[in-house]
Amino acid sequence: MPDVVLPRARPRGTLLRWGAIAGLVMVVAVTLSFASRFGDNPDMVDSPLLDNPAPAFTVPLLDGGGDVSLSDLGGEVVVINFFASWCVECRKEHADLVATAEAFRDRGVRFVAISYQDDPEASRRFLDELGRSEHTIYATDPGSRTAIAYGVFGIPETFFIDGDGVVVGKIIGESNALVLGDALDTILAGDTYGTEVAGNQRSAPDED
Amino acid sequence: MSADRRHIMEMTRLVVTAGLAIAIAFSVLTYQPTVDRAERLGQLIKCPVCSGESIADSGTQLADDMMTLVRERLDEGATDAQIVDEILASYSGAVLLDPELKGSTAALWLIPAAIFVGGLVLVVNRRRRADPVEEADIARQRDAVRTDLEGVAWQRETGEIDLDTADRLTDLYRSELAVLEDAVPTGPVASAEPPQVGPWSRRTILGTTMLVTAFAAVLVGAFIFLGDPEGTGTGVVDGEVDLESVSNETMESVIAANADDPQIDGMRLALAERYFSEGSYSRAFPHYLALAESDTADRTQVATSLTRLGWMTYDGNGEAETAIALLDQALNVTPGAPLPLYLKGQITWCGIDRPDQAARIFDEVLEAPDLDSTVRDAVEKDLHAVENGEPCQT
Repeated sequence: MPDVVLPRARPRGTLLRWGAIAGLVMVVAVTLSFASRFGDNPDMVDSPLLDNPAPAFTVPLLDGGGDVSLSDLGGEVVVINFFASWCVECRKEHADLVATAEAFRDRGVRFVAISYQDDPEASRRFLDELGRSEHTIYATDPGSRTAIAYGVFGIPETFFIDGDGVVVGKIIGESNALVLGDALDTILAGDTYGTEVAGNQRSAPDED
Repeated sequence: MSADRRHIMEMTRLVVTAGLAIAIAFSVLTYQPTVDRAERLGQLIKCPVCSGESIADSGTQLADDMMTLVRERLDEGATDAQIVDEILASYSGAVLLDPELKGSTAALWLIPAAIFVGGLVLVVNRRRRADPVEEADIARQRDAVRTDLEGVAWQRETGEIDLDTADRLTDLYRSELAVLEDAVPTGPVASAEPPQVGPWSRRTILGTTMLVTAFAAVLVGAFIFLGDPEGTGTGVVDGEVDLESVSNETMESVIAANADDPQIDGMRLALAERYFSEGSYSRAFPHYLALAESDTADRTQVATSLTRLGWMTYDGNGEAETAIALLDQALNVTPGAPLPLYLKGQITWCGIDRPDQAARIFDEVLEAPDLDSTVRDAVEKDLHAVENGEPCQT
């Protein structure tokens, strides 16, 4: 009998079988994961600002001199919409934003539209063409400071701040009056709206 | 100057020079210009509007603005961690090119790492076992067991050992042989030539499978943990909205933004009816009027609007003639409709004090087929009052 310390015997093929099963499970998981995410933008994530105090800002007004600060609007529900003249989706949602600002004016809601990476003159022409809301403050954002503070990935992007200054909602992409109104109804009822992916958005002027 | 003094002076000069050199070298080695720190930080942060590029490498406007912010914060004396925290407060870990290790992402790091290490151990172990000396030794043991097996078989045949002992030894040697054959390629090792290790032995296959699995796990983790693109809103975007729960303000804004869309007529009528039932005639009026003048509203919507306009004109403003004219227009659209006819009868009775005409109108209402029993009761009651000369009861 050989004088050797034998390794522990193991049933043949067990390791291979379990390895193959694990690999198969992973392949299926990856396939399903890809399939479920097809067409989605992985950058569109819940904002870490949700349920947290809104970043303070002071931005120059688009028309005339002066500026506006978030603190100037304290106590009201504030809707901050980032837009640009080069953004097709912004053009499409503009009438809905104006209509919503008008409809909710008596319920303590203020709209602030902040021009994002746009020539102020181009933004003014955009508003001249599509119309301004009397109940919306139009502003610019030099150096994209406010956009960065709010974690803007693309435009249009719309944030909702409640009367206590907490970010309670975010709409990604082109919205409409029904979505905006639904968000405001939810927030005015004292609830958090969360994040809604309403439509497409654009990240740069030369994007197709 | 004495030799000792010169010696001290030289030593002093040497020490000072060396100290100065060390100080300069230390300063040079430890100096981190702001620009370099900014670039290094920028390399850690993914450009939010790019595909996998850092803000330091991307040429987009937003990336440039973020780099400017990083440089300004550095100039202000912020630490690297403070700057990264500021970005993360707005953008979350999705903009870190090296995702941070925390609760929700721990599995993303640890599971693939564990599988990777396991696979690596198996592959390396397989390679270690390919040591020719060790393998030749095991092969010799294997051949010895084979010889023992043959010996037991010969002893069994010749009756040298009893059958029970032969069976017990045979089972023992076979199990040992199985293990040894699993450890080295089959066949005799005839020379000192190192045994060839097959590239696709079971352990190698398993190790490779685990490495592939680790890669797959990274992909799955990335998709599961780094993003929730579907949102968490109320679902109105997906058409799940219940109009009953939509506020008047929301309906107003939807109607205003889609005034030229024929499909908005239904929502406009619903909102007008809501205002009407609340007694808010001034808010209901413009919507009924828009529907009455609409080219796209259907006959029922137009007739309903004209009927409501007629009643509000009488009930709100006391203008009986105008009200009757509007109700007549409603009846032109839907001839014989009970509601505008009944309201016309009431206004004729109470508004312009023509009870005889009112009685004829009430009779006409009662001729309508499928008249609701509640309406019939009300009309019959009014008809009875008119015929008995009672004062009007609206």
